[in-house]
Amino acid sequence: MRLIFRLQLVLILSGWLSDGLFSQQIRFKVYSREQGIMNPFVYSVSQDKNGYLYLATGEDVYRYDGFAFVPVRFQKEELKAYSTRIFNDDRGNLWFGMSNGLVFVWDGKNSRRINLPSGVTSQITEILADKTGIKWVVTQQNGIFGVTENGQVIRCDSVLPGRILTSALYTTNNNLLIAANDGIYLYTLSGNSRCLEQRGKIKNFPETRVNKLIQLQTSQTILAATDDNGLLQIEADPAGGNSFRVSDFGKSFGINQQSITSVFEDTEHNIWAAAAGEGVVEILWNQESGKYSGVRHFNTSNGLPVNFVRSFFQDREGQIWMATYGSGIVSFADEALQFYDFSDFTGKSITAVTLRGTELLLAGPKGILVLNKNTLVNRLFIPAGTKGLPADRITTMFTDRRGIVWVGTAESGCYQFDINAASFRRVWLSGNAVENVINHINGKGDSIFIATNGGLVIVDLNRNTFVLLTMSDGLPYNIIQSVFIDRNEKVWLACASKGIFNLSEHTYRSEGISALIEFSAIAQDTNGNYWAGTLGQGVLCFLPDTLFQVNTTTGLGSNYVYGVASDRDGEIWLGHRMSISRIDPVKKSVKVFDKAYGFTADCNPNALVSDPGGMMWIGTTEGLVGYNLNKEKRTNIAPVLNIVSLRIDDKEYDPTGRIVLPYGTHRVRIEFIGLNFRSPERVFYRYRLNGFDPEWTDAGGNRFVNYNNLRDGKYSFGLIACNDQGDCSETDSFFTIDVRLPLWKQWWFLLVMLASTALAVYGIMYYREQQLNEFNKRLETQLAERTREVIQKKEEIEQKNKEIIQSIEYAQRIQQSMLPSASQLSQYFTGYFLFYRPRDIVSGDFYWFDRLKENRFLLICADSTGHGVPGGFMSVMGTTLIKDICYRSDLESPSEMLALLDHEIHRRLNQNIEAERSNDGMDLILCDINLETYVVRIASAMRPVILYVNGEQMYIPGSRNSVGGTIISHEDKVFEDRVYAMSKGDLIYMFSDGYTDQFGGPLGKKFKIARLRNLLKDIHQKPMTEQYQHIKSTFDLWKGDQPQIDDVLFLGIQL
Amino acid sequence: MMNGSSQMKRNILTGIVLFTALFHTWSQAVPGKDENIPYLVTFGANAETSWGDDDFSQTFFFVIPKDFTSPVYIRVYDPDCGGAIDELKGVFDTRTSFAVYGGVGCYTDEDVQTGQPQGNYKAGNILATRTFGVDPRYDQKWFTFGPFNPTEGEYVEQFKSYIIKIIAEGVSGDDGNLYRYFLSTSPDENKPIEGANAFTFEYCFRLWDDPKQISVIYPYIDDRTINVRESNFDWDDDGYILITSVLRKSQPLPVSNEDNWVESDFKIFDKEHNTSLAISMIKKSSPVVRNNNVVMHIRNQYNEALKFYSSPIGGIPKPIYGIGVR
Repeated sequence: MRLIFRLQLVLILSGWLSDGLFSQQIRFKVYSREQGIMNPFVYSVSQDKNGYLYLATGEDVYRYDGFAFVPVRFQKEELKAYSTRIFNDDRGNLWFGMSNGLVFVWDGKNSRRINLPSGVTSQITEILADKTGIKWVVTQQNGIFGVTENGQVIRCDSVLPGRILTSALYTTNNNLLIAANDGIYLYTLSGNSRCLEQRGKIKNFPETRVNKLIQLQTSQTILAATDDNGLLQIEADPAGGNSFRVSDFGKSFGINQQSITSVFEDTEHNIWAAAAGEGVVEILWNQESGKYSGVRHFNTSNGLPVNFVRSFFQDREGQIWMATYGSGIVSFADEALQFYDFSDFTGKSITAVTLRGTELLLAGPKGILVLNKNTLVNRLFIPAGTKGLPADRITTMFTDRRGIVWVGTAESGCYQFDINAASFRRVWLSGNAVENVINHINGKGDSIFIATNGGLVIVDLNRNTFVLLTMSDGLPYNIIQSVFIDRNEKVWLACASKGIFNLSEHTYRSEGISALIEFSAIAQDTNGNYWAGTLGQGVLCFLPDTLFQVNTTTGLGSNYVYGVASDRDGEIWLGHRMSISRIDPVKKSVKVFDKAYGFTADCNPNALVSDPGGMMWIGTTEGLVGYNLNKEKRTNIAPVLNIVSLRIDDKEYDPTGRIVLPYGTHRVRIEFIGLNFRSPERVFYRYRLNGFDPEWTDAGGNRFVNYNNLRDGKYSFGLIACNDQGDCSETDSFFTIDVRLPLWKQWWFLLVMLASTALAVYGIMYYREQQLNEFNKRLETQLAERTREVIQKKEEIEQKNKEIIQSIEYAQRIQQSMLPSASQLSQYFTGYFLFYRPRDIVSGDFYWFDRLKENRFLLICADSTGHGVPGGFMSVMGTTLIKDICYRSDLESPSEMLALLDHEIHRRLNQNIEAERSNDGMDLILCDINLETYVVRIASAMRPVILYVNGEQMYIPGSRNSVGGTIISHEDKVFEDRVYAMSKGDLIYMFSDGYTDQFGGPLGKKFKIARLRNLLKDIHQKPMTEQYQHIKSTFDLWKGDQPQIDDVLFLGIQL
Repeated sequence: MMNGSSQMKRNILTGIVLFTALFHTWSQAVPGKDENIPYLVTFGANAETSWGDDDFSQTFFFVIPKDFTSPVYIRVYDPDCGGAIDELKGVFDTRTSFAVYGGVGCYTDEDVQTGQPQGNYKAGNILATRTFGVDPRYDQKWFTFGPFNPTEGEYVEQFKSYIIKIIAEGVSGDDGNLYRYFLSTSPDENKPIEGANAFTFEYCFRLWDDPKQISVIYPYIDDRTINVRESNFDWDDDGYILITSVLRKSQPLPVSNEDNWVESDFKIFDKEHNTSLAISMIKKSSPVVRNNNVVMHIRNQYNEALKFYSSPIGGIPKPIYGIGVR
């Protein structure tokens, strides 16, 4: 929960400023129920080693981080008690003394209980440490207990029995002063029993309850806050021993018989005393004089929320925290920031401010007030509408070298104010209304510069003349917002333009500004750089060669600036609505005083005045605001960095050390804080997750960061936090996150995988080799076996082949024997040759001839279907049938013979038609030669015949039908007789297709009939024996290495 | 022998009745407005008991509802011993201490509930203490203790309230210090706390000199009580003590004489459980006894002291004799 500061309260300086003219206010920050402190009775405040503030309240202990109060639990069970005392030990651990006698030690995260003896139920009133490190726990009614470093408890419960112990103090001389309800007792810590030894009661000390003892930092002086005797001072008697001198410390500061519940000395040696029911008294220490020099009172009449304060605490930033009884805790917003209300005189709003020597002039709707700037005592007040002061809004005031105050108004022009005469005189500038709207007045020497809505008026005091400059005279704009005179007495104008206008030289400082910017005011820092406030663009700093802009994104309170001034230390102050900004030109840091500091008014235009004495005076709509640089507490203490929460995958982790996560994608949320209690909202952060973020990321005021996809790798989280004064804390590595590499990225895994792969490869290779070897062995075995089988088969086949061949050879002999002897042809013809070459011993080709009656000579050349044994069978069957047919007398022509032969073959081969139809047959030439007349009748089935008649070759094609073969109708199967009258010496060539179809030659082609006819042309005239040699050699030559494809029969006769 | 279950029921019932009743009260004046008692009285330690104070100590308990979280103040009227109100014996030399207690045991300690200044009757954390002698600053004026955080008292679940104890003791001297208390939300005026109350186990107070004035005190009868023993001290035989309840009307009780205790027992009826009795003190018209200080306590059959509430729990019992002037 973000805090909303409830700001209130007034503080009136006592004594000197009690004239009743005004009230000076210092704003407090009050943290109570509204901010989350559910029980606003606060007993003690402290700060742990991590920078968190702890509050002991009437119910819970709260931890405060500048934003929220979070209850702290010391144990799971309900305590039914509250903490009455917090002690910060030398290790930064906090000791919490409880109302029921319990003591807990808190290290920031965990607590442990100190086991005091049973029966200790009285509340803890004090915890302190001696120089040996022993912590002394003082109970109200159960005595005192020492706790050693190792947790051993020293019982001193017999200390002051029956008395109420309220406080204790360990002094530098090893004594323990114990405060009780009836005075102070002195104890020493040197006893043999390690317990306390009483040295006696401090004499001369009144019989009164002592609520708190402190020893001043710079002396041996002890202050005692008492119930009835105010603030008493105890000093060791110079005479030595246990004698002490007791005096009334508070009396000289107005603290008499008051009940003082607590006393505290801050780091600047101021004494803070809580007066029961009367608020707080601050006794001011003067550093220069080394004495206490004054007193401030804080109570409900001047704004403290309650008059009961239980204790004080000063945090590491130097802030004083008051633990109030019933109103939570209270701290100063900023003591240097003071609010003044002059509404009884000037009215609420202070519209113009100027200095005149030791006088401070304030203008408001009711008039002008002249004050002593140091005492703020009223010297003169001129009500509006009197003494020549118009009843108009005063917009600006300026004191010239003569002490005359120039007063600018919103509508009535300009006036001169003679304070000594307490009178006003109007300065006539123009009858034009816009030139009587005065925005700002400034001057140097005898020149007065009046910025109006109608241009710039320059008044020459010596000559008592004035001149009006407008845009026609070279001004950038007629509405001049303010006039600034720099150290070199150059005059600059702030108006709507592209830069600030140097009136002396009629030049601009624009540094590249291209757009029209509405400048409102100008100031100069100690380095001579100009700072120009704008209406909408923040403030622009004109460096020697560049431009530097400060706006809300870089921390400015607002982009609208109504006044700019440089303070004594060279820092730039800017007035906004609802805030003021202060820029450190060196650090470029911006401190904003806004509602968190009690600043809730609007700054009036050009109402910022810097007093060389260290004051900044700011006229606002709610009165005068002063900032006293002399009271400013600059600690230069950077925020304390803390990791509030580290959640990874929705699980909380301890954000210290090294966090190891398994491989995967992780979601990380980091919440952090830079503890700063002066202005926690204005702490700005930068972070970087090394290993993820390439560079620092500017987080602004955000206090968390999410990483949604953190993968494997090493990360460390760095954080920078800067307060509004530019003081930064930086930690490069708060914690590290190690997201483990996946298994497959682990070096050992890679090594194992490499080795495994190598092993696997080797194994596979080995296995394959083994398999191969076995396979080879098996193959060899099988091969040997097969080889043996093959050899055996081969032998069997060879044997069978041999037997078959023998059988076929025998069949050939039978076939040969069935064929007529070719030599018989010589008996009938002049010559002949027979080239007969079966492909497979027995031949499907066959011939037959015989002389029939009447000089007829039948010559048959046949080519049966198939070759080898089937062909042989066909030839045998053909020979037999042909013989039978040829010898039949009723057949006259060869064609008839062929027809009959065809019929017979069909009949013979298809007797068992159910088994399978036979298509076997034969091509055949039947040549019937009349030996007397040499008339030759030829009937051919599918085979051609080549004749040489009278030397001329005649090619006689065969019929288209084979003998036998495919069954077609006998009417369709026609064999023709061709008759040729040949002469003696003519030649007849008949051959089977085995000759012409033989593949060979250079191209592996068939021999073809054409090539044969050409061959015969070449050789027909040769003797038949030579022709035979040609026919034979030609065939062999043509065939070459080609296998013989068919049986070959070539028959040639010469009539 | 009561079994545990019925005991628990009774405790719960008592708690509810008490809690309900307490939160309907609206008076932290001690003595209360219904009591018509002029002052509490505590004599100095050196006084004689025959002057009306048997032990020179008086303890009162303030009950603050737990929901009340603002500062509270205990105001004491005329805390000093001197001036017109207090009882002079020779010269005023009495010093009276007032101590405010809270924390563990301030009420629940057994010794505290005896009503007698014996044993650990001062148990608890001391929140404030002050001793008064003759001090004109506080003569017939209010002195304010506090502020106190209510949680500094002892939280008692039975009451659902925090209890703060104040003990007045005569430290020295023999004069009688007459005073009154008020539990206030303001340090400067008497502003009661809504739902708060006050009680004591033994009442030591001044009777009116005017015989027409009747003072009444209201012991609360819880449901464990079946028989009570009323004890009064140093009544000087100054009239009558009548007891009234929802069932009984003006039952007379024996009256003590000079410097002695008188006890009387009577039974408690069921209908009287969780109600307050009214013990009226009616002075004799003649002879008129002046400056009569008396002490009274009531114990149940377990010898446990019963509480006298300044604002009677359950209201004033009816019928009752008229309070105030006869």
